Amino acid sequence: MCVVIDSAVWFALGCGNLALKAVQLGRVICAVDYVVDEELLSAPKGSDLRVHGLRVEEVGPKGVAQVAVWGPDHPRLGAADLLSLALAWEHNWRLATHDSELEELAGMVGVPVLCVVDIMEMMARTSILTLADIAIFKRAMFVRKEPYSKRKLRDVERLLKNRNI
Amino acid sequence: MSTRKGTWALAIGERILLARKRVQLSQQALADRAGDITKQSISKYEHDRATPTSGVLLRLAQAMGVTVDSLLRPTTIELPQLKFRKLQRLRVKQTEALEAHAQEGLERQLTLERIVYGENRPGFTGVEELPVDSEEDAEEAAGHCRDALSLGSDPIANLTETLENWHVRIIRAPVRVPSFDGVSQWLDHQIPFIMVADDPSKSGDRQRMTLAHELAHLVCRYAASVDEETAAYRFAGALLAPKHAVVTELGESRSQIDWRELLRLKLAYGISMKALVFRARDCGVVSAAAATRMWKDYSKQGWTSDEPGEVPMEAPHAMEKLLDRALAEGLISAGRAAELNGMSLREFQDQRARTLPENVRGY
Repeated sequence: MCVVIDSAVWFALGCGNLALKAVQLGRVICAVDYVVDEELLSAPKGSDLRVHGLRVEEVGPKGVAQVAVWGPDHPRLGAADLLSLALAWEHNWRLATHDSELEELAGMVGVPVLCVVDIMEMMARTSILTLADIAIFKRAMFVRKEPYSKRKLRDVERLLKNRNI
Repeated sequence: MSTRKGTWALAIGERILLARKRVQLSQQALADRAGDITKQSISKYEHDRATPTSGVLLRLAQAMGVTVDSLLRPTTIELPQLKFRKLQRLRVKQTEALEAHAQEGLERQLTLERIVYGENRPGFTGVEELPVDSEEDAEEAAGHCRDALSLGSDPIANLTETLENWHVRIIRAPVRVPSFDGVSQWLDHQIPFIMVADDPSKSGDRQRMTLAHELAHLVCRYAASVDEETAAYRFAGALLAPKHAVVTELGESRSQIDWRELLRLKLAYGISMKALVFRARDCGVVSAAAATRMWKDYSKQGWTSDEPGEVPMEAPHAMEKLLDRALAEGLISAGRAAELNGMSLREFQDQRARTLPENVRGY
């Protein structure tokens, strides 16, 4: 099953320079934001990066109509947040987010939710994540005060350490 | 799960239509500007016979200079037609562009206020409608405003911030229309707002004069015998440089004033030297004949277009403060904050990171 990464999680991954690595997961990893990130668009061919900046891949009419339904009831969520969810909802994909309201809304419409560390775990399992990456990520998150599950990240670290042994 | 097509979904078409009319584009012109969309498709979207994909929606929003969000959410304010001053002589297109800026700016700020304050939005208080039956009344009205703001006779360090703290919404319109400086209006008789030109070719003292002038139009009720514009300028001058301060600084009666004296006052009170000559005359410091002599000299010096002494431009900060508060309290997502600030999440995060020194960011 593919994963839609919402703009905040995509940004959190970008803090630790992991966004480009996440693309290498080879599944459809999507981020929705208003600005196309040139660096990401020049991601390695075959990386299966489908959506970034809403220009490459699009939320369909059904999803857009759904965003117009959700929008007025969720004034604290941005259009990019809602479009990320609509994309996952439309295609029966998963959504990576760490916004509690978006998580709740995803739960209501039956979209499975992942967090940024779940993406890192997927990357660890496919051997495209290193302990050095985690160290950079932790520092970046500390500086930016971005939320993430420290307990889950310790599990990912343990996974990598065990593999190294 | 149903899409409830026919309710909110229908409204997307209406919003596209309104946005297109606001920028005065025909369906064909919009299709050309957005690229890769036909006129027939736009017609279908507007009549709710089809819903655009997000990619199309983004292109349409960009072509019309609005946010995607504005096409996805219902309009929350009904902006009355702005009453521009006759002297501004604006073209229809310019008027519509300015109205669109006012609508967009106000909608963003009021949305954020609703999120932060809920139903308890702080209101504009302190002065009732001030009657102005003569120019002297305008001077008195400015005094009432100064009292309400507890300013005494001191200079107003930052008029934009002072007005924002008084819950007057200040919006900047990034348009370069030489004849446009500002416009003000009440929304629903409760929410006062002033839109000023965000034009770097205009000076800071001119911007402050515009703000004070527009405040006069908001709070004063003019008698039919009074020329509104003249009275509003008198109010603006008195608000920025009150009579007590002018007389204290220049003396009660002078036959001539040195430009250096006025330059010092300009930098202290943030009001142009030309306006200070008006103030000196209105406060009885110089005679009308002396003031006329000074204006002639002023023109001869070539200061009409480039007056000495720079007063910095002011920027509104109410939105910024509300965004910081909403984010700190977890009232909005970072994506929504970026959207309300009119930028991408990445730009927004970078901008926020830059506002604090590196060693402070982690705490």
